[in-house]
Amino acid sequence: MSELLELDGVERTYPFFALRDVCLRLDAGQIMGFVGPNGAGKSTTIRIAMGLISHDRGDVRLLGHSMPGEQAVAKQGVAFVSDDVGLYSYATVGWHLEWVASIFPSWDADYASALMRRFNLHPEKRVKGLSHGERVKVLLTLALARRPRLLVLDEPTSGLDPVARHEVLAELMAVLQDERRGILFSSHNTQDVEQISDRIAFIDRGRIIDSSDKEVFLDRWRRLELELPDGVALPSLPGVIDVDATGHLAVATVNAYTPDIPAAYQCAGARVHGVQRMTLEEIFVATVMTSRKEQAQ
Amino acid sequence: MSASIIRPLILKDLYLLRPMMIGALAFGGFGIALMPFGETPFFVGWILLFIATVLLGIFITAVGVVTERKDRVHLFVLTLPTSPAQYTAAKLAASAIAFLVPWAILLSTALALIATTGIPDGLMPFLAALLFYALCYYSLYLAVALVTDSVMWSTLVIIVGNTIPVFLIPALFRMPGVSADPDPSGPVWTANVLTVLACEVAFSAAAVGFALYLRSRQRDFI
Repeated sequence: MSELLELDGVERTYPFFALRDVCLRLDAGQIMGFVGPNGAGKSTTIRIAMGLISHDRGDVRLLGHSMPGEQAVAKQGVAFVSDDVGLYSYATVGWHLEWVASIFPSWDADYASALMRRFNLHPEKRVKGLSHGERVKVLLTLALARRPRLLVLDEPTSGLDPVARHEVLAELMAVLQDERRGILFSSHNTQDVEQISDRIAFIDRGRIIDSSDKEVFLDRWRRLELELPDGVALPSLPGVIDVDATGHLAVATVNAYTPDIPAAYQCAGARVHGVQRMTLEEIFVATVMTSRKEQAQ
Repeated sequence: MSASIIRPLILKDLYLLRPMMIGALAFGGFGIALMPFGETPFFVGWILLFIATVLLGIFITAVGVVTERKDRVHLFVLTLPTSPAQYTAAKLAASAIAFLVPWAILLSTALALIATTGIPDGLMPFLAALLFYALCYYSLYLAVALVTDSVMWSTLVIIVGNTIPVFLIPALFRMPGVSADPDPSGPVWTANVLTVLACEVAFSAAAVGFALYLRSRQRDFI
């Protein structure tokens, strides 16, 4: 599998924030969801990957090129879309398309036209008159029609209405039909990430706190609903990261689930009323809270 | 690809800046056209010409650099296959072309008009020094815009840049060689005049050079 992006031990220190030992790897054919709360370091990491911000330590390789030194070559095969990227407000959508097309020999004019129709964009319209959602769609059209090997998306669905979000996500899924391509998708919206990603990395307070295949994440996390008869104390089990007990009821959160865990609780005298899979949002929140608790200790 | 990216970046900026270039040529050209029709039209004409070149420099920098950064468009451009150094080089080249071409056309036209009509030749160095001051003003504003997005610094440059002519214009009129005498006794391009022009060019080059030096040391470009 060819490697599209690799960050190894990347660090960057600011007066009130530091990115610490960030390691990420994205291969062709993958969509990586990069999830973190606001201010966690998602955008900083992505901008370091794109060469827009320099790093203090570590190595960044984009399409095999060392960053930021070889960024002009590396970015030939990379497209970047972020909700805070602007366009020339007095120029038309069509002018932007023509200008970007003049830069990229790989520009696919038919695909650009198809995307314009699908997104209901009009080339003669000035950027000034576009809604936020339309502007994101123009940026996405400009990015996708270049046929990049790697698409880097920083909160692309932020501020989009549900229909626009669906359209954008559907188009991203279509990109991955070509297995040579990959997407790095940053968001704090776990629903979007869960919908399209096959790999997930969680970041909080400048550190990658967990990273794995989505299915592995979803498989290993469980929430157990327990009833505790009088006099029963729950044993401490490996993989159980939190137990929230109220009276005779308890909820155990497990990040390395095996059938042995409910069996062990039953042996200890607890009644297991349910074993539930967790949504990515629940897993994300639990991971962040556990990480913060560990850092505080 | 790396080198060729500079060309579309320059052409893009020139496309976006062309209304300002055309506007400055029209406005300044109107000022020049007034000049041969007597003392008062000449006075109004050179003021219009000076305003046209000053406004050209301000608008080119404001639209090409300041607004591009304020609207986060530079982030879009920097995601194209370009390095920050190439982006800065293209920005500087496009801005210089957008300013210097209309400026040079207006300056040479005005000087040619003075040389070929009854306007006193002694006013040529005055007009040249004044338009070279507009070059200094543009260079300083561009330099500040390239290295900082501080509104305070930009405003300060505009205030200072607009204040200096109040002192500069009377000083230029007192310079040897500058004269409204239709039949000047000596050469108009005196050593003083040439020194002033050389200082203005040196200041412009130093301002932009210092900005490029500071820019090359910046670690982040957004």
